[in-house]
Amino acid sequence: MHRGGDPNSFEVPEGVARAHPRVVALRRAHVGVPEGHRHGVDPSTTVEGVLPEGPTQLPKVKPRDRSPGDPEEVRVAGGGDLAAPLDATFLAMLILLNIMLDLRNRRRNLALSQADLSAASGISRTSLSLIENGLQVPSADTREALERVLNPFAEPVFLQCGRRVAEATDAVQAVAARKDLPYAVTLDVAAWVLTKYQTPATVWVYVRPLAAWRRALRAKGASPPEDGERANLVLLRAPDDVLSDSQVTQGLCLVSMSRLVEDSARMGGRHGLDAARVFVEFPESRRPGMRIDGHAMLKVLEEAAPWT
Amino acid sequence: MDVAAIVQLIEQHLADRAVFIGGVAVECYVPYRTTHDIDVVTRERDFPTLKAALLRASFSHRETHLAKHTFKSPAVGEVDAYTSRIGDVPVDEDLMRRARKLVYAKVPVSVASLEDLLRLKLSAGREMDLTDVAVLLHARRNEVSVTLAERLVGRDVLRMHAPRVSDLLPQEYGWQARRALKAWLIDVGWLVPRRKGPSAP
Repeated sequence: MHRGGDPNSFEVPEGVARAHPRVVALRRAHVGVPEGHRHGVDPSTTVEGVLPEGPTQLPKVKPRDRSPGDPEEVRVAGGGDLAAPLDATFLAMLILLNIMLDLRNRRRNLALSQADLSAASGISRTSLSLIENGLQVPSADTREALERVLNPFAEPVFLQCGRRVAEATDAVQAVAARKDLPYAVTLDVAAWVLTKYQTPATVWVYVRPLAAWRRALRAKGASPPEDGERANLVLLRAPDDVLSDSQVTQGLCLVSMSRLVEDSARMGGRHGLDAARVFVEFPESRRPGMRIDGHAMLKVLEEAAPWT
Repeated sequence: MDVAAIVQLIEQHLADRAVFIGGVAVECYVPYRTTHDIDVVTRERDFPTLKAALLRASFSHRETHLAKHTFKSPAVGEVDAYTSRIGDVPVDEDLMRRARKLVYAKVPVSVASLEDLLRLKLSAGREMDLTDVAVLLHARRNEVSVTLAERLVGRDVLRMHAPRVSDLLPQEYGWQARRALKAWLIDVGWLVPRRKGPSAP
């Protein structure tokens, strides 16, 4: 059953709503899908459906022949072949499983214990455990609080270190060498090192541990920018895979090329040009499902094209 | 030879008769991110001088279907010269007259006025151009003539792009800067404040 106007949502049939009185509307169907990221469910699709909240006791559904008008079925619109009838309970289970696995993987990827995540997000450890074990569906507020901690770009640390990008880059290298702390540079500077295409304005760097990096950089003169001033150094909490896939190029530890393309494409604006340039120049950066701004790609291809 | 050297070369040969637009102009107003291509506007009668100077500097020339002349050099980069129109925007005497003298890499050069730059960037309408508009307005909004900008660009176009512009101010400027830009856009009437929906009973 489609709700008028929005092709990406479906209406909960009356029969299902009666069977599951606790109706939960889910936007961006699982925990911590950053804008533009593609983990599991496509975040561009809005899913509104029935989801049992609290300890899950999914009713048994007897398989039988169904017609499209059957009130016990829902149909997800806009999915092409996927627009086949789906059982609401099955869909709910999938969403729950996705939330559970995604939260646990992302937490571990950032080397955070449940206690760390609980302290940083303000969500009780008991709740986290229940969510990770698929026994509780997080509310929108809980998901937002978790996202603030789990998404490296959600709460970056903005600093000013000297006046130019080169000074900030030197400071990062000096701290890494002196304290033996891991890092991986992304966005502006990483793209500049690889392509020399677009001048960098800010050093974006994944670091771990964030607190130690902040202390060390402050000791080297870095400070939060004044109101309205642009930061020239931004620290991001580094996930495991970012650090393990990093590569040293021209004395700087850079994120992998595919990560660079993903980060640049996701940030948009002028970063989109970096994404397109790296994508075109380095075939090894390409991964299925990457989305790059069409105008940026056109500009890069036009400039890279030989004279005819 | 780098971008600065090419800009200097053009300035030496044409002085005020060449007006820089694009990345060089944005860089003059507010240092941000630019690519290595140079966009320059000249009158039709001054184009042969520009062409001769660039050909002497080992550029090769091609006139494209976009009413622009492209000069390319594998070692140096690209110069795009416009004499009749820039995309949909005509090259007229007013654009040349409104140009400002600013400094690029220690060389005084003629660059398009802020209002003309806004017009060109908004006319292109790509995400990268709207980001430049956001950065320009963040740094130089007090110098923008709202009346002139509305006359050149059109109030409807400004209102159409304003919501995206305010969102595209790069993150490293901080949320305070983004909020201040939004407030200014609302103040000049280019951005309509979002109304809160009726509260649920």
